[in-house]
Amino acid sequence: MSLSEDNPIKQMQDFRDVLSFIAAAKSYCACIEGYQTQNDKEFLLVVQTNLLILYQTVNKLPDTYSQDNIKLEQDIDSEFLERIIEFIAARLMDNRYYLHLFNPADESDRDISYGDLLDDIGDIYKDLKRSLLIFDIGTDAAKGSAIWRFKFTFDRHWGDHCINAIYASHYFLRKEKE
Amino acid sequence: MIDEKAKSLEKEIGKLEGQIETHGETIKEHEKKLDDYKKDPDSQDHQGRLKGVTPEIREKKIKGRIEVLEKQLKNQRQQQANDKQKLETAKKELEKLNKDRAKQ
Repeated sequence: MSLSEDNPIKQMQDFRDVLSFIAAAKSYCACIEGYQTQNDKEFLLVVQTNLLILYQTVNKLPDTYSQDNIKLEQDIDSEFLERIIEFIAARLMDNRYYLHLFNPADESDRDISYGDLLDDIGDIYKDLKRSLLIFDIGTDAAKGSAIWRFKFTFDRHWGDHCINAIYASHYFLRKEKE
Repeated sequence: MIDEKAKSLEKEIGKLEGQIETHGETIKEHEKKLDDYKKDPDSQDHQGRLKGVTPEIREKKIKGRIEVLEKQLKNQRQQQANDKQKLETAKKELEKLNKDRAKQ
């Protein structure tokens, strides 16, 4: 049974799904910004858990469209971002470069690609952080824009990084066990 | 009926314009990333993970990273070009619709 957009049950479900995703995005960003780890394995596990929740919850976000397209007046400070990237790199240690197919569904491209887990984790962080900052402006227009942006940037950008990072971390964690 | 169609097209146009603009920011950021990496792979390496390997492996990793970044950019540009194409079509359709409305 599909419910119409103005059905109160549908709206309640959408509201719950948005809150779940926002919680997942905040948890991921908090982990990237501040999680102090004992070793690389622990960091990989925490990041992977966060990514799996993000992947699950983003797919439940409602399809919205925001006329306003609110943007940040000032982007995230580049020096702050650089520090975040350094902090991720320090916790990843040797678990950085991995091999994969760029698009496994594209049979015409069989070249092996070199993925970089630091690039994946960092790019996901940037997309989510920007959208969270827009969401936190607090107006209805800003919240609408942020929800649209979360989904759109997932479809066009950080979704690939997310699935590659889940894939790579799986194998790096297995390697740690061996 | 025509009004409904026009409304739907206006919405689609606004959505596509938003997509093109937001995607443009991602493309710009990736162009800079690729450019920076080509100029100085070590500056993007952090923690020196490219330094403790043989020259062959280092070369392979750098070449591999450049290829991935180029593919990402190509992919993003293609998606944006598709959106631009859809936008043009939607605008033409709306224009035609508005002309039809004016005639009525």
